[in-house]
Amino acid sequence: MRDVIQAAFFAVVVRPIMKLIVGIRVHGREDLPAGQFILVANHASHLDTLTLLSLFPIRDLVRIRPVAAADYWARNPLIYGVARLFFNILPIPRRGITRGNNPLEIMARALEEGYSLLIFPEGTRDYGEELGPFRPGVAHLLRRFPRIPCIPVFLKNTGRILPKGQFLPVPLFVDVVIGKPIIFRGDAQVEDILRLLRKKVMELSRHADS
Amino acid sequence: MVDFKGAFLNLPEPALRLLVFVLAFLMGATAVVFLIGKFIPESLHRELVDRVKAWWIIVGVLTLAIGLSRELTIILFWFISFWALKEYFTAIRTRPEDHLALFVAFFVIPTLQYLWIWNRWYIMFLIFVPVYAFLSIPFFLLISRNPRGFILSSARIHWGLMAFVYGIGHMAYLVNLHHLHDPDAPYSGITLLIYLIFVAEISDVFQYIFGKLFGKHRVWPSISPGKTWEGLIGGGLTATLFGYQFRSLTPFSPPESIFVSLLIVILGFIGGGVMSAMKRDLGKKDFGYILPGHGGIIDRVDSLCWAAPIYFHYIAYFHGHYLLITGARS
Repeated sequence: MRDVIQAAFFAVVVRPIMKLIVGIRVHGREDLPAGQFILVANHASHLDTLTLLSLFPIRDLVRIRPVAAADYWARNPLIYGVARLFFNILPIPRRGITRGNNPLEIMARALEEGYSLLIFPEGTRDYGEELGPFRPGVAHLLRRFPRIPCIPVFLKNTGRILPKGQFLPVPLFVDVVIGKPIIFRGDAQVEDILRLLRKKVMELSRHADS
Repeated sequence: MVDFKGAFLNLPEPALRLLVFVLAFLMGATAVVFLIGKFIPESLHRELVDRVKAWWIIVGVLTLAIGLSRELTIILFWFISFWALKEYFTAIRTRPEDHLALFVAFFVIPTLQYLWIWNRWYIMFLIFVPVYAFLSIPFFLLISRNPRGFILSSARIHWGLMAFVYGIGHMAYLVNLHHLHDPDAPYSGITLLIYLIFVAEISDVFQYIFGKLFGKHRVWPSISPGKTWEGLIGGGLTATLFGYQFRSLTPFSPPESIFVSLLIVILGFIGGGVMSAMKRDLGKKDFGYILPGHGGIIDRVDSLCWAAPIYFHYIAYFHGHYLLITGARS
């Protein structure tokens, strides 16, 4: 039932808005893999998740979960309900982490269930259009699942359209630059993975400017 | 709002003749591009195919809107303004502090301007962007309380509104014009609009063709590599010839139709040059890709943004005494 509501919501509301008002320009769509993936992108706006989800065919949405901060998206049942219903978010805690709510375990479980994940490794929209430092969780996850390809993505202009703290959108074009999938080895160092990932996203941002 | 039954046949006869001519011309162009495919480089062929395809879309959309109703035409031009603003504001640099002013520039000002056009409120249509938008945009920038970059932001935003809302809006307002005394006049605001677009676009197309065939001497080498004297003269003369030929869409006398066509050609050329300079300044090749082979909307309407207001005010000044420009239709 939730799948049907989500599909209908995307077909009737999200897609038309993204096409007629926002207008997404995608570079490198052919690099999106057909199977399971971990997508890693910069984060500046609520629009980021919508943009990334609208890259995929609507029937594929059921197997994609955007990883979201529990202290924001699960702060009350109404917001969590809506975010879960329409976007199938996977809430993870950013602070007060215990053995019972380890975010790494939550994401690992979703991957084992066959979901693909959308991850914003900056962990916040605070850096805006700048690329902030990456939090290490994503690297641990990639090390644990070396067979799942990682897709680096750069999103341009979402932070200008709907920046943090604003609720009126300014409908500029969004540029989405999709990089080639990366496969990390299970014995790679966490710091190396993070450094490489951040470098990749940086490179993609330069591609968006040209 | 949409009159399907009487649509198209309500268009004056010269407009229908022009439509038939344009369709024949497009079919001819499609055939030529198809046939010369073997003899020209593949990249050029693909460019030509894309351009011809885009022209089919442009002619189709314009014909549908203009043929069906005045209101649809106004909505179409509102959408063109909106899309041009999107391309412009995406390409230029803006500050986070400009957010509210940009929102107003995107949604409030174009909507109101096209509402005045819809309601035939002539005076408001004339002064709204140059006076009220000009004064209100800096006010919305004041709210951010950051003076750094204030002048640049006000100038950039107002420039976009003048070119893409005020300029393009003049094309939409043309559809309100009617003959005061002769309801059966073969020309009206709609044919005047068709005439403007026809001459300006014929000029663009033949400037491109003459430029590709004979272009050697660039007009502005540091601004636009594609604009040559050979293209300008060849395209301009062709457009003037067609403007003279199809003058029955207008109230212009024969020599006047030549003058007005030349005016459209020269202003269109300047408009194209201004947008090229802007693209050079921003380091971009074109403004987007709504139409394959044509870049963005701005790349298509640049010449019209410049030609439309002057063409409109020429008509209002010299022919306004027998054309209904302000107030409700009788």
